Amino acid sequence: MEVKGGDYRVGVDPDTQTAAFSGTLRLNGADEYAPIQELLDALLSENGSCTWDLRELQFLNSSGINMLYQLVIKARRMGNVQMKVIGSKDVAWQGKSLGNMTRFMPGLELSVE
Amino acid sequence: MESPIQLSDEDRGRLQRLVAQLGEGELSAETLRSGATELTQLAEQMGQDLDDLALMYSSVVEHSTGLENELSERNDQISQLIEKMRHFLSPQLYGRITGGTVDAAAGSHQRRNLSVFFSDIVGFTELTDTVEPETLSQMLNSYLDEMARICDRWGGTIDKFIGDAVMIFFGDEEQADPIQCARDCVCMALEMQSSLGALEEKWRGFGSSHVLRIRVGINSGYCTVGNFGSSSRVDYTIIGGNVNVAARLEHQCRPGGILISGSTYAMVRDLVEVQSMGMIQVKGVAHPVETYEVTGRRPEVTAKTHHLLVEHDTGFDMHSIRFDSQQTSTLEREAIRDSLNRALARLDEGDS
Repeated sequence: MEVKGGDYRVGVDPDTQTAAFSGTLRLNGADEYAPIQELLDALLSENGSCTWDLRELQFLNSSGINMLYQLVIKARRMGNVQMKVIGSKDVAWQGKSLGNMTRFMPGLELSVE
Repeated sequence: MESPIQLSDEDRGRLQRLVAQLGEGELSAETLRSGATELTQLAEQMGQDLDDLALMYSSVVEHSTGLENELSERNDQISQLIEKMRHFLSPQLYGRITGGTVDAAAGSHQRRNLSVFFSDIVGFTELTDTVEPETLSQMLNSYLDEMARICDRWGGTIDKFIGDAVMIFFGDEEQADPIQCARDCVCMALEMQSSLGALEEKWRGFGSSHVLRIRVGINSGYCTVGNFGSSSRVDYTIIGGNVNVAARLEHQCRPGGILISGSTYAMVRDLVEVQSMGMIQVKGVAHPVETYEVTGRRPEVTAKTHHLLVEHDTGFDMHSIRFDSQQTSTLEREAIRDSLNRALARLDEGDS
């Protein structure tokens, strides 16, 4: 299962319950992010745990981070989701923006490598 | 996905039931207690939603600010790089790249009717063996600076400097007029030659007694212009038999001279005085190339052509016109056409 465009890819590995992001995500608004949101939403609904691997995601615009924050809030409300996010120190935007995810969901496991 | 501030259908139903019961006076003490508890839970939920919304707002703003700041830093870096790049490119090429009219990818090229200029300094190799590197660098840079300034003034594109050699071309722009380009190229060469006295004086200031003379070769014709190179390194340059002819003319030129081909001469014949120098054979070019040495500029051509027709109050005097489809230049044709048109207009006035 994957969603991909000219310069990005979001693929889900069902065995590891991991969504791997790569490239540059600069879609316009919620409508254009809807296919990715559905893919990630399904990963949340079907399982007790899920991992987002963002290490190869070089750029994410504000509509994209907004979508991820909404999903983190949803995961917190579901109550039974073990959420893990993996980021990279080498990608400038990830430092603060991923750190803020733990403010939405204190139980979220964040690993910035 | 639902927004964090939206009430669920269930919550909305509970609220509506409570409001209906209030309106109908059906509230018992138990209902009131239960309702108060539900309202408190709803208020807590809404408070949590508002907290999430506020946090999301500030986090998204923080994310956007981070991106904007990074973008601004990258822009500064790009500006600094472009500024450095300016020193390695001709002003025309720099302008076209930064203006976005040149496709930087290797492989983009087109055929254009160009005028190609080559020059080198006579005896420069010997000079490199006798002058200190730092002094040599000052001498060469002062020379190339002056050549580049003159080239810029005439609108040429510096293809490259190869040591003391200079390669320039005219006519790669979409709208370029090949005739005007050939004329500008030859005028540039004349100005370069006449600038050497002052440069030689400057070189004496560096302690050199070298007599500064250059050889110049110019040819006009179709060449391929564009980006050539590997995937990692690309040069905006020209290639083709006509480029080789220009280089060969430069080698063939006497020190201090300007040697042009027959195809260039055809476009500047009314502009410069020349001396025929015979034919040369260039490797890879099928036919021998006619050569001419430029000996100086002709007196202003406009003064001559304007005298074809002398108008006065009651009529005009027309001088003899000589036209040869092989010899008469574009400029001369225009002058003849203009004079004949004006003469016809005066004749029409006389008839009316």
